Amino acid sequence: MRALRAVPAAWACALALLMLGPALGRGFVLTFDMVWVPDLAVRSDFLGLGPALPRAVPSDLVVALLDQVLPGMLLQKVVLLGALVAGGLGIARLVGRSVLAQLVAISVYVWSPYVVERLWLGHWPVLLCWAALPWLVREGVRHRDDGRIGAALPFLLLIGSLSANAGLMSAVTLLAVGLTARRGPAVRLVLLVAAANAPWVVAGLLHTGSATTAATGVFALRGEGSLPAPLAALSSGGIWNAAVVPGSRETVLAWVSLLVLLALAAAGVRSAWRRLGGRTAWALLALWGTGIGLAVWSWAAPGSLGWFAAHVPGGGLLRDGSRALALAAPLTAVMVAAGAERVAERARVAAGEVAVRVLVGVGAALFPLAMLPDAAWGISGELAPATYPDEYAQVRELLAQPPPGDLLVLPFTSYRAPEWNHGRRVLDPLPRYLQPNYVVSDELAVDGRILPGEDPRTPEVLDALAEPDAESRARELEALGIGMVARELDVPSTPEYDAPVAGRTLFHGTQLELVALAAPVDRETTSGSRAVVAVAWTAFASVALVGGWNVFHIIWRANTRKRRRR
Amino acid sequence: MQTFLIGGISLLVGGGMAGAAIFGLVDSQTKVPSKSPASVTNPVLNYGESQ
Repeated sequence: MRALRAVPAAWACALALLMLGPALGRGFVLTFDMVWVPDLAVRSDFLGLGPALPRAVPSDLVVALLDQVLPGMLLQKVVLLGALVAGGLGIARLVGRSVLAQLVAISVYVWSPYVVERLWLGHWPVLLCWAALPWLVREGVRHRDDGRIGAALPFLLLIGSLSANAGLMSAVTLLAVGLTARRGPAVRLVLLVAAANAPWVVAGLLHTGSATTAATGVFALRGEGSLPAPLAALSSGGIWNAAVVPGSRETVLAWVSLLVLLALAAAGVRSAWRRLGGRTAWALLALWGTGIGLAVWSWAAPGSLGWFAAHVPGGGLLRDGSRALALAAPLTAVMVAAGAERVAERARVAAGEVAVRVLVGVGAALFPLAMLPDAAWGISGELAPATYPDEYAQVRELLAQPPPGDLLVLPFTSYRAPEWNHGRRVLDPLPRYLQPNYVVSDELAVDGRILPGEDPRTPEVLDALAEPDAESRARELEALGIGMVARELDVPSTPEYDAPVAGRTLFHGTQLELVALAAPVDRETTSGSRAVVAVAWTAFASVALVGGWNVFHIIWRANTRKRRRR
Repeated sequence: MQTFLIGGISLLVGGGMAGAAIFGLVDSQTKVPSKSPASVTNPVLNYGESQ
């Protein structure tokens, strides 16, 4: 019996291992927005003090601190594997004690288009948030019952709030489930949520001038194959970027998957509702509606969403419509699991054989894998790890004591497809690999059309590169606070994005060149913004302290009880 | 009779799922890869394709 109880945990681990496959091998998984380096250096811009709208607050600083303890390569594997396993284990906790329901819930939650597409696009903070959501639901229920902040809750909230979108989804989930009418507990919960999200909120407020975005319809929910966009959303797919949609989603399998999952979910509505309890079920239904609603909004009325993102600071957080589908995932998995359990029980009664129940259960647990077979083995090899060229480490060593000023990386474009990364697209990893604060282009090309970024320095750098000679380019760049120029020699470009800059050559290899400029202007940050950012990060750290105190309290109480028994 | 029926149904369902899985896998592996490396005529690499 005990062995049977371990089966769901083993299944969650097996699915995670099967999906990641070669990604767990030696090297770094570099795919689209996912950039990990051996040792991410702490720098002031990671706090949110740089001139650009900080998109990786607080994730960059958290990684930079954690990789002091664990090497970056290992940390990345722990994060990816941990997210998938934790997501599976979390959803299993929401479906009761039936092993069959747990197995089905794990498959539906983990082996889903949402997870595969976000993993491929490199949105690991969103995946951590997705993994934390079922746990936050449980902690929310507990908080509603006893009004206390559980030992795990602060840590779960931090894990689920490593980016702005992730933080919003974690906050909404926890508050929807966990808020009570009692004032004290409600205030404590809201404060905890606010503290966990403080770094990105404050950093965003400091950049309100550039916190609007050109969110055109390109980031909207889209259909997959012949599956229209709203139906793709119902089956937790529909990411805007066709390049990260598994091939099987564009076949009839997407239809089969949707119809079967809808049928099972319909069969499981009543028992799922009973199991969750009215209050939690209503909260999950509201979250489901919000997730699906935001995704469909981005598809149905991209103009209004575009206006919202262009005029309301922070509105750009909604532009990637299908990202919000994580909110719908817990209820979907719980209902499908309840439906599968009901169908299995009916089949058992009809056939008079327990084996039939097992058969239906195994079939339902394997069904998501059969509908999305190319998600296996690192999304059919798309997540194969890469090794950085030696010259990266050589330049980093040179910059152990970097000259003053920020680092500019040329060509001044944001994405690369280096051969050493198997020709796969990735956000340029060089700036993160090196130590100084950096200036990178935040312009994005989608469908060959260039979308403007938010960093005010991007057009200024392009203007500087357009100067007629290397000396005047250097002077213009120095005026922008740039003290070093790193050039990736193996990236084809044009003079608009890459032009010689006069300076002292510190390194010249076959792939990289590093030039130091003479007199960069000091980039100023006001003491006011430094103080506000310090308060925000103190609040963030205090969430971890609350968690640490809760854990210490539990251990201390257990020890006291043990001593008394003696 | 019942055992025969169960065997038949499981064969049908299992076979269907295995077939679907193989179909999806083959289709995905034979698709033309959608890569658009940067070049001197196209210096800004596509982040994604919405079509």
